[in-house]
Amino acid sequence: MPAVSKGDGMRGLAVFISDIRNCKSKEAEIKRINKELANIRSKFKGDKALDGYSKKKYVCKLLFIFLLGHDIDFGHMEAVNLLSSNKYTEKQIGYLFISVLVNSNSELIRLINNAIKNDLSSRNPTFMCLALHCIANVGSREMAEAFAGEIPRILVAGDTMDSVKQSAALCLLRLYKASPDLVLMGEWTSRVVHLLNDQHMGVVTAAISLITCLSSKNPDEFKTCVSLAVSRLSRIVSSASTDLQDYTYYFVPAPWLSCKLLRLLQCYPPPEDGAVKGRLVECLETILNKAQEPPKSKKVQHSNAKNAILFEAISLIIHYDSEPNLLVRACNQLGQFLQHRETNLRYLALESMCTLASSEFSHEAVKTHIETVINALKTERDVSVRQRAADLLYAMCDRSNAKQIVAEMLSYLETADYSIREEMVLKVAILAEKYAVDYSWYVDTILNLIRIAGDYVSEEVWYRVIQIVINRDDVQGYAAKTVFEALQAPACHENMVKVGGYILGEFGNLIAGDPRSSPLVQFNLLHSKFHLCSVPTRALLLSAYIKFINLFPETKATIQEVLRSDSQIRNSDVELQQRAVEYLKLSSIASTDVLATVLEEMPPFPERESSILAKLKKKKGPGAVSVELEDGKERGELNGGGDRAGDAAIAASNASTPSPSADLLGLRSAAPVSGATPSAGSLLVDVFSEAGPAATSAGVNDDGFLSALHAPEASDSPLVEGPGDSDSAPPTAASEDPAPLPESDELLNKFVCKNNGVLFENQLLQIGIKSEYRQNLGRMYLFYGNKTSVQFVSFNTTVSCPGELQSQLNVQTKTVEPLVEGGAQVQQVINIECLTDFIDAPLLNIKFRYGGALQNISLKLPVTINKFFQPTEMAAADFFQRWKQLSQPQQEAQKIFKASHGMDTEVLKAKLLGLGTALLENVDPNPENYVCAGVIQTKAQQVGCLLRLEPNAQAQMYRLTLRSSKDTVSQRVCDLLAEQF
Amino acid sequence: MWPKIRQPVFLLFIPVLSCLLDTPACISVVYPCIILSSRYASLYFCCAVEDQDNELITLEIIHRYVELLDKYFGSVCELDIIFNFEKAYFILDEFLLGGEAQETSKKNVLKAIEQADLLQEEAEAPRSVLEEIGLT
Repeated sequence: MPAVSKGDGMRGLAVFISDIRNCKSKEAEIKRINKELANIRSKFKGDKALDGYSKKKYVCKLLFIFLLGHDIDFGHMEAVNLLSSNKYTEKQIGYLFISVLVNSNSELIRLINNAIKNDLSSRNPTFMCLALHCIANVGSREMAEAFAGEIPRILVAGDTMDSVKQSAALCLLRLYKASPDLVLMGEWTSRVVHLLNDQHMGVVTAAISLITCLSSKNPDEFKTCVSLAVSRLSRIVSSASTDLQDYTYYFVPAPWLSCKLLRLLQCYPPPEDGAVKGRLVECLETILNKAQEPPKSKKVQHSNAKNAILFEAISLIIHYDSEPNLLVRACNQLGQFLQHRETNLRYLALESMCTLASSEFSHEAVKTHIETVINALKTERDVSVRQRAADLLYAMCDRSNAKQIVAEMLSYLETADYSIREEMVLKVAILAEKYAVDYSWYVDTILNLIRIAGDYVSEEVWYRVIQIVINRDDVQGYAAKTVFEALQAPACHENMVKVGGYILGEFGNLIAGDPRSSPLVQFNLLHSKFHLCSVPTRALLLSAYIKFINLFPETKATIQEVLRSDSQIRNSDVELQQRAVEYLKLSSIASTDVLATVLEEMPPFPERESSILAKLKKKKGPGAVSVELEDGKERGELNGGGDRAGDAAIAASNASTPSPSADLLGLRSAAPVSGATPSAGSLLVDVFSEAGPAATSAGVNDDGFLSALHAPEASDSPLVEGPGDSDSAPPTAASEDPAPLPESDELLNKFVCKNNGVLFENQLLQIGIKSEYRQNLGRMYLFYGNKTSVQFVSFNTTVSCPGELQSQLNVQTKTVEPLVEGGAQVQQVINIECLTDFIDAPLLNIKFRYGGALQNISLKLPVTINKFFQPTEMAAADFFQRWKQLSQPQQEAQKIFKASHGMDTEVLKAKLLGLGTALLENVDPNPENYVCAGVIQTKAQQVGCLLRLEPNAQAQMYRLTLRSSKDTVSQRVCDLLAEQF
Repeated sequence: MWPKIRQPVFLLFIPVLSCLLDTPACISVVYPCIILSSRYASLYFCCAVEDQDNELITLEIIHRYVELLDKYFGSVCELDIIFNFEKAYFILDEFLLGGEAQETSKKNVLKAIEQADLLQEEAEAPRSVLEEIGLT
């Protein structure tokens, strides 16, 4: 059938396309297109009404131009007009244009919907199909609102043509995916399920996609589909290749439908009805048997279709995980594929085996293929196949083969693709820890890891090795010896220096007896690396040095010399300088006893989920499924009771352990520093000034002091995840709390542009706040001061995120001491993570008994979206360009308001800076105006924000304009800021 | 220099991936998906699927689509698709909808398309001379 006779002979279109093809250069092509656009524009604008045919032709040309990659900004209306034509081809082109070009929130949707409505009620099947295709392709919410009620009726009506039913089913699926709340099956449910019995295979094929999606969301309502699906599957599987006529594809009967049926069954547990189950098992066996039969055709289509069904059947077998016989057969089948010459099959086999490995029935069977998989890791040419092989090795690893697998993975790391190295490192680290029989092997493995792929060893990995060494006495000496040896290498990775510094600082004494690793030798070795390291590592080394002074008094003079040198004590980095100064002072004034207490050996870390595992979980790379399954096991082994129990234990241990769960290196105190400053008058204690008393009393360092050394976010992450799990206020508690004080909004506003101050004060209690924010994370210190001379008992504070806020902010606190002495103050640390932009503020509830009377106060915590601003400096040109880019009406928020404070320039500037944005000078042509720019950092996204404040001194008014890429953000920041001036 | 033989880049997107349909910002969502591609002489097809989709059967979706084009145009080449791009779309709509197979029988799909072609021929009205030579 030659194409020419087919076309509807739009000669003009064909000529235009030929012209384009004959263009000799890109410029010529653009010229030709512009000419055509001008022509079409004039035709559309012209006085003469165009006939349907011309309209169709021009719309088609526009579509072609669009497909060539040019923007089309007109013609939509003409396309919409075509929809109401009663000529089929005109309607068809109109619908096509709309499906391809109209985006789902276009203003034309209303008109389009009207045309669709007419076609749906026309009872002309071809028109109905066109309308349904259009809905399925656009799938906007407006369309769902208009048609979600009508389509199910069309789908199940007895007189609907088969082809219309097919379109209706998939159209409904599309609407359901886009707006599940609008598609209600209700009374239609059972009739939709019965479409599985329809005589027309095409109807079944289309309907099953809909049913699968609906079943996965509401399995109970659709569970009658299981037996229908099984009998349909059974009929297909047992049919001869010719029975299904045109639904047989390269000798495979109805491969698409079979796959979909098997997929549908994966939404449900194994059938309870014995007969149904028996029939299904029979089907699965038949499919496995067929895989062993010689192929009916040599064509790749035949084997693809057949294997597609086979893999889907294996997925179902794995999903059921209850038929040992089938699982082992599946595993053997996949084993054959591992050596197949088709790369696709090897890839898929490795992938499926990963999930098989986690089943207790087939784990052993999978393990028999270890050599093949290792070989695949070494020899496969395609990186994605190698990746799968690595995943499988990880999944099949257990105590019996851990040493072999870890060794293989380590050796593969040396040549592994850069893209997967980090993940490999995490996996090796996890396996080494999980299956370590003797921990010296574990230490060796991790140090090897750092040696081979130091750049890819993330903080979590080396934190973890330190955590384990600290917790296990039997390996400390060995670890010290090994790192000492590793550090002797002329070039060693910085991560090695970190581990070495930390371990020698703690356990260097265990090897100091050997003259080859005497204290001074150890120190000199460490210090030889000092100058090659980055600031955080140097900071860590300085801490190691002060520990050396404690462990080996004989090194004191040498180390003090180093600390005293200009390069330390006058270091331009404030953290290093501070450490040098403080350590020097500490070592010279403190007595040995004090020094020994301050620098006591680290207490063991509480057992909890490995932070590495948390990290791997976050990497949603391929193989995530198997990792997830592994996690389940791991958690069970480590924590017994699972996460919640672990967290609770950590929370409980807070009060007693000097250095509780806080972070890995344990240098940061999270325990409340109670009674440190007895004066209630100056409530806002300077965090820094507390370093002294805190150190002497508890042997821990203060937070601000060393915080730069750690990434508490990283090590805290297992705790931070999931607000429901955290030990902060249980969500239900909020309901018992009184409503926040009426003035709390006002209090909140006080803190929009500042981070520190007194949040609340009454006759009994004063609450001070100090907070700091970085990126999307924040930490807030609350100081509760008892202003009376009587103690507060049952003192309890909870922080909760009401409603929507729960999914927008992650707020985490530790409980405070229940007793606050008269005149004393307690401190509470709150960690905040901004997940996405938010409007409300978290609630702080404080309950305590004062002389028998229960006090209950609720406040809003001053956490506002602007706290997560990152200032952005930019030149005037940049500013205006971005300003213009954000020109959609909803991106802008504006307020005109009367000044409620003085309009002093410096005060205004200070407030704008306090907001967190960068104040841009010389941008606005009017020097009276202020412009600012910043980026709000949330976990989900970054929202760029531009601000302009125009004061009018005469009228005592301001005009404030906010533009940002997100409408809610513009509005919220505008509202917040308008209260400030 | 501009090469002599030049073909417009034509990507007929096969919307198998439901997540692509759900949001216009497909790039970010697509991250965990797999791209399948297939080449038939001068025609290239690609198709994105999600992690849990069945890759092999999707490859055969592409093949079936090629067969449909082949049957309809009679040994399809890229010129057929360029000059009749709308037809390629219509066939696709009959075959796949909302990212799922609607009708996998070759005969049924072609029957639907041919019926539409018949409707079209009936509807065609005589045209002007200018139009006949393709000057408008």
